[in-house]
Amino acid sequence: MTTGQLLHRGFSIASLLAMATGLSAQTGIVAGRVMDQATGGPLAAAQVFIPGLNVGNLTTQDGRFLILSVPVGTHTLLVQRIGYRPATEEITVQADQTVQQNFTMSQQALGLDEIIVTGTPGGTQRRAIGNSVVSMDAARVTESAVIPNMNAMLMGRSAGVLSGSGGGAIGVGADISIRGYGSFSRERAQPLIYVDGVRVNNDPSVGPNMAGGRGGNVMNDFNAADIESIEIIKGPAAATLYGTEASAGVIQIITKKGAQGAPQFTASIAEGRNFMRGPHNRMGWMWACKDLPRVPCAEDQVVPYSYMHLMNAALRDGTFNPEWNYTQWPQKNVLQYGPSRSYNLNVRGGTERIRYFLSANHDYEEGGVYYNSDEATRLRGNIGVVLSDLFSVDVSTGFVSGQTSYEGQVGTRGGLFDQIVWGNGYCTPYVADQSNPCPRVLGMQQMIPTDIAKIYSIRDFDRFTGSATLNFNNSGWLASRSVVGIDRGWDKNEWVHPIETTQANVIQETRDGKVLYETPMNSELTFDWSATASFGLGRSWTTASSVGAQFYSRTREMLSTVGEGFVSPLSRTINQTPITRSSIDYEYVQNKSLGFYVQEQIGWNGRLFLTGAVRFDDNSAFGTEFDPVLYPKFSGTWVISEESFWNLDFFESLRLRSAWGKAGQQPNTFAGVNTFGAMAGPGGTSALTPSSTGNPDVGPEVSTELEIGFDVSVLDGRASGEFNWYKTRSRDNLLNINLPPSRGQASSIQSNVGVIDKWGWEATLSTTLYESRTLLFGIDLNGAYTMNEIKELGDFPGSSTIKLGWTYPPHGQFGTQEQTKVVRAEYDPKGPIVDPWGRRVQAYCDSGVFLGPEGTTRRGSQYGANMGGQIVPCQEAGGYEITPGIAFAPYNFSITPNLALAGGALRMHAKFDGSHGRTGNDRMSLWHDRYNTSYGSVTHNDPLYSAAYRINQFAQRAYFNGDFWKLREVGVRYELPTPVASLMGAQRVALGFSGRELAVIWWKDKGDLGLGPVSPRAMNHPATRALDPEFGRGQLGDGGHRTWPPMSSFHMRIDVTF
Amino acid sequence: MLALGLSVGMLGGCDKLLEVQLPAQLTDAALTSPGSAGIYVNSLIAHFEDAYDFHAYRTFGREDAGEVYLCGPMCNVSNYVTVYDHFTPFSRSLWFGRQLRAKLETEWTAQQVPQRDRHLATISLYEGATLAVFATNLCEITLDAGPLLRPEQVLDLADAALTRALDEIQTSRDFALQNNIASSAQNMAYGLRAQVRWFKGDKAGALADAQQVPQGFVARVTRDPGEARQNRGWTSGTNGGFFELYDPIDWWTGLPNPVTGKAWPNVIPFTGFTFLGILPDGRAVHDDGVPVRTQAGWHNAHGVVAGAVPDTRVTHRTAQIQGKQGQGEVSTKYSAESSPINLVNWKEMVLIRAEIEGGQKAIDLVNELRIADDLPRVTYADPNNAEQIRYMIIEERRRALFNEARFFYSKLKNMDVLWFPRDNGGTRFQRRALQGGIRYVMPNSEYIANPNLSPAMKASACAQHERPINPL
Repeated sequence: MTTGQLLHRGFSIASLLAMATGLSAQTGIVAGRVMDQATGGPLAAAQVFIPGLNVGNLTTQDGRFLILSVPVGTHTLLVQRIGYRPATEEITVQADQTVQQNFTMSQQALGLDEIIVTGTPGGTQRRAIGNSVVSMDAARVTESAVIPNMNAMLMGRSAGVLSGSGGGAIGVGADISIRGYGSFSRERAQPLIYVDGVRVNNDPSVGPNMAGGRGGNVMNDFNAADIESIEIIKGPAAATLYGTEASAGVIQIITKKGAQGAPQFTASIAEGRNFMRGPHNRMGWMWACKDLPRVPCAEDQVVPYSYMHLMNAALRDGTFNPEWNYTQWPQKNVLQYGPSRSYNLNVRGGTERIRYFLSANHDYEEGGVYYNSDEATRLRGNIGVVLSDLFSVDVSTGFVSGQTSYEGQVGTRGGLFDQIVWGNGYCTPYVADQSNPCPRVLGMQQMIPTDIAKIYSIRDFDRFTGSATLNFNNSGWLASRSVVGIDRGWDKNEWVHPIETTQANVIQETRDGKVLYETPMNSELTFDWSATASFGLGRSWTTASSVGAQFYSRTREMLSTVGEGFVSPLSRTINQTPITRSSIDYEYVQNKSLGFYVQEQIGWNGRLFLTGAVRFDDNSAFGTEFDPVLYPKFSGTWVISEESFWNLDFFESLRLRSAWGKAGQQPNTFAGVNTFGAMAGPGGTSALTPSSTGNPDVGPEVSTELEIGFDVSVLDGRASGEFNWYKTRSRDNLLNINLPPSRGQASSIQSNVGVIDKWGWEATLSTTLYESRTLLFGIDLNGAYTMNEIKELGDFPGSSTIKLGWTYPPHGQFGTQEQTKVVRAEYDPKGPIVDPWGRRVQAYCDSGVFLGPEGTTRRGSQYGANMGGQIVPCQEAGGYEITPGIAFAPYNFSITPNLALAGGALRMHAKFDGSHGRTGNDRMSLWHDRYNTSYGSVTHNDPLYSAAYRINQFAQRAYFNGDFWKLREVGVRYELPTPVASLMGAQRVALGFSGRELAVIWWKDKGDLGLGPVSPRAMNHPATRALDPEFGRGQLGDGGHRTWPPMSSFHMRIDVTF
Repeated sequence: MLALGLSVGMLGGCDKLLEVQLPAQLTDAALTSPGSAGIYVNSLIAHFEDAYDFHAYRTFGREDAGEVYLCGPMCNVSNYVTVYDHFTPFSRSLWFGRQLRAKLETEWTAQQVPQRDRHLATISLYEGATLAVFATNLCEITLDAGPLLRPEQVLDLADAALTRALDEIQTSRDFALQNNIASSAQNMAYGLRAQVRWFKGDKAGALADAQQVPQGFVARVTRDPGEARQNRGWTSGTNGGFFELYDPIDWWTGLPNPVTGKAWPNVIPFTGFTFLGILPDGRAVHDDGVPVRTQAGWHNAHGVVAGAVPDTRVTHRTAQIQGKQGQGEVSTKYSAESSPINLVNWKEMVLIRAEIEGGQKAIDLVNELRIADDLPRVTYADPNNAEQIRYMIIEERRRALFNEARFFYSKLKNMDVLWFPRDNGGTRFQRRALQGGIRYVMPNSEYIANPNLSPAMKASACAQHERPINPL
């Protein structure tokens, strides 16, 4: 009998807990300990049981287990834990005797028998699920390295899951994208997030509304160290049971739970530094003309200068500008090594009936400048109670309170980094005759660092997330789960421009002072009930029938006030502005959804499963004329390696699977009704202005996905992995269609238009290449290809960023100006373009490849054109726009070697991330220079630049080769020998070292910054800057050209368990 | 199947669970009762005034007033953007007017809305004012998602709306508009129609209407303290020191005169707003079009003549110019964020009459303005020298209507001598590209979303010499 068959015979955890009590005369005891082969440490919460008898128990904190009342005889004892390969042993129990049986479990990337949290109660074995579900052992990740936030937790750890870097500034977050974009909205492309069964706020953009939008991702409110595991459901085929809003995937966060045993405390202290790696070399040089401010300057008049050297010298000497020197800047250099500290204390323990996990955490870190910081204090209390043989309840509570002080807080101008990299060459004092025309800014763009530091932008946040889950299980055939939960956040956003008094005012808002004060409050309420009845139908067949109902309510309420004209330079708050110069706004948005599902699963011999389900959803945002929507799904999975005819011993297991299903995305809350907002009328009267124009027919967009894949384990489990191919078609995509302004109504109306296809593949492979008692070495690999394309737009004629044949989202930094056409230029007396020196230039453009529906070639305003057409003189290339391709590199890879020595006492890993393909990532390193006047000093001597500039068709300015490999993360952990730990009064003591963003190993564009064969001469200049291949990838597809490049960090950590 | 049926049935019976509160949003229900007529009126005026406020400060740039160094809220002024993005709030003003007119004419009775006749007249007044702005700024227009119209067609519509306004004022009897917008709706209507007819070239009509507007009358776009209704010209330029007034322009190397094809002289005529003066004989402009000035500015001394007295209508002060790293002159036309903007100014009526009547009458009319402002009277001018009289009136409009968004229309009517910096050039210092255009085009979304238009039709109805060079 296989493990799967053993498990399949109606085993449930609850029933084990309920039955593992009592003794009888013809029984014995089974006891032992479960250890991790890699670490040598004990494994808590492993399930040890005898499937044939429905008896078992969970291991305690120290890995020990005890099963009482085991009938005499020979039995199969099975141990199972998420992330580990199940192990079995034959035991013989004798009356009134104790059988001692220890286990050593080895890690396994994909366990067919692990329990996955799905929409149905009690979870489902992976072998029965027809779609791919990522199961990440978060506890192991956080143990191996310091993980600063949830974005870092997800980045590159799962194929097909992309997370922006968020930029290098502390406190900023980033989008999360699962299998790319299937919606015309980045917000709609965000996956749903559940924490212990309750749906939580998934806003990737919170904080004061500053330049370039808001900064944080609320997912980073959670403490990564409190998380036990994360399960990622990737697409509509898997997310059908979650209904409307789930088409972008679902992330299930499961926090740590208690374990039977004496209280076990774990204290952890981490200390580190955040820093910009090699700023002098990475930011490179700028150019200035010797005879400033003559721009463009002759080629032999160009002088390069190191900006970081200049800034630091200016700060140290205080000579360039008396308004900015060491007396007003608290550090000796512009950039700092920002401190980063993290303190965690948790305790877990419990009895057979009550188990608990309590934790407290405090994090503080600063970024590259002293005023950029993030601080949070978090508390968590999780309690599980076995109420009776039939009922148990799990309560999960988490609270966080913190404050983020953002860096990029200056109006539309970003922050300090933006000012540095946009520095004005002709304003630098680094000129031969010191004839600097604008000495105050020292060559910075418009502001000096002290101008920026005086402004502050803060998010204060408090958040409670709690859920109670009532589980019912009557020994296996009927299980139900009822969840009630709330996620409520109270934020305060402040953006303050104090009155400038000590130096010349250069920021409009600081002339009189200005303050923005907002109090966003979010409340997410979840009720979820589901039940599954499982029956055996003869010896081979089983059936599991599930029903469920979910109600979800989301409320967002925000009071916003803006005041100008502080009464004093000391003023900081809204009440210190005159009422006549303040304004107030109030936003209240509520959305509710209600859904029901029915699912039927039929199994055959524990190795073939067919599942069908249908979900009905209604939503308060649906138009009045729109009926509730239905989402079906079907899936099948076959563990073919367990068939009798399978005789390929090379394969430990092979499972084939396929799934097809639908899920949706709801319209905006106000999409169905006409609304008006208040505005000030003449003389203080009241007036109205259109806010939205309602569409009575608006409904959800519906995504349909087909996923085909397999899970495989070979070489006795030394290599295991999975492969998925998927294709998703999203119909009725929601798009705000512009109304003609001349109608005088709201600017747009949300409508269901168009089709977006997305497709790709994902592959993961986890290997153990060498394994012995003292050394274990393995490599984890994952890779994915993700692509999308706009296929139909209905009657909508398209826009400057949305056209048939294009990907979505467009890379964003220039919005509509994706005119990547000029690819080559040369001096030619017959050329139509005249450069600043009177020389004639002939330019050649990519004429583009037009794509109509389903690959047809058509032209028109609806149809886009991609790079790759004929190269023709630009005057013959037409006046259309060309998109450079997808907003993120379509191929993404990760390689993670793992090494364990000394029986697992010393463990090391390094994580290498890479990408391949064209991307629209915003590389300041390239296009900043194109616009900067100092760069113009050089490039005006280049025919390509002249051509591109003169005909306003910039060459490849947003079009890059995304090929790179970087060392994203390293982690080293050494666990002191137990005797040494004992001397310290502890059970376990571990020392850790970790680093992030440590090196760019290879970057294809580094040499020529992406211009490739058309590189102008400046690109070969030794002063060429080279920031980071992911620079500007603050948000996926967004032009974060004002954001910092990814920040590097080092941390030391000590973990003590006692 | 039973379960499926149950699910559908449960969804159907759970509508109440999906009821949501939207307390922060007003729906159509807020505008269905006769008591909301006043809200309609407030709304149409509010949208017009907010749009006109933006329009006025944008037009200040089109009048070649100065330069922005620190690109920010004033950036578009110096960039000469070609898309008229206040088209939307102006159109919303028209929408509220259309909705209210429909209700007043078909649903609500005079008993229900006692101010019905005044409301109708107010709708017509602002409709006429809006259409006049469209017709004199844009080179092609659509109304309520209709087909493209030429400016001449819209001028006729404006004329008709204002004629209707005068009829409705006859019915309601003359009245003052709220918030000191105008003391007389009738004078306001005559003034607006005079502007329209002057621009149309209807000299007789313009003269007759202009004569109806008494000395001292103004109709205004009102502004109030606070961010929502502040005078942006004051906030963004005057107050903040973000917009430095030009001295006479002597640095242009860009395209020649688009009408004559001739290169511009070294000093562009009728440019420069700093230290403007008037000679004792009343001369305000030299024969070459360079204004008379009392002293050199920060950049040059063109036009400076000893003995000139300051022209107190064009006021400015020295300020730190943001982004320039130095000082310059900024306008003090508006002294507070609540300073109103003249929409109809009796001085313009006088100048319309002067332009139409010409000769000695023109000199006499200009002197009415000089006397009112206690400035030297014109004695230098030869009433038989038409060019001299023309220059006198152009310069007088430049000064008497300084920073009121009305000199721009003189430019449009005198394109042979008044400067339009187009494309291929930039501002003096920052070399920001002046994107080029004489008139505006509507926002891109109009061309995309209007079923009668397409993006390819953008600027297609514009006269060639007025068409934006690069209508992005």
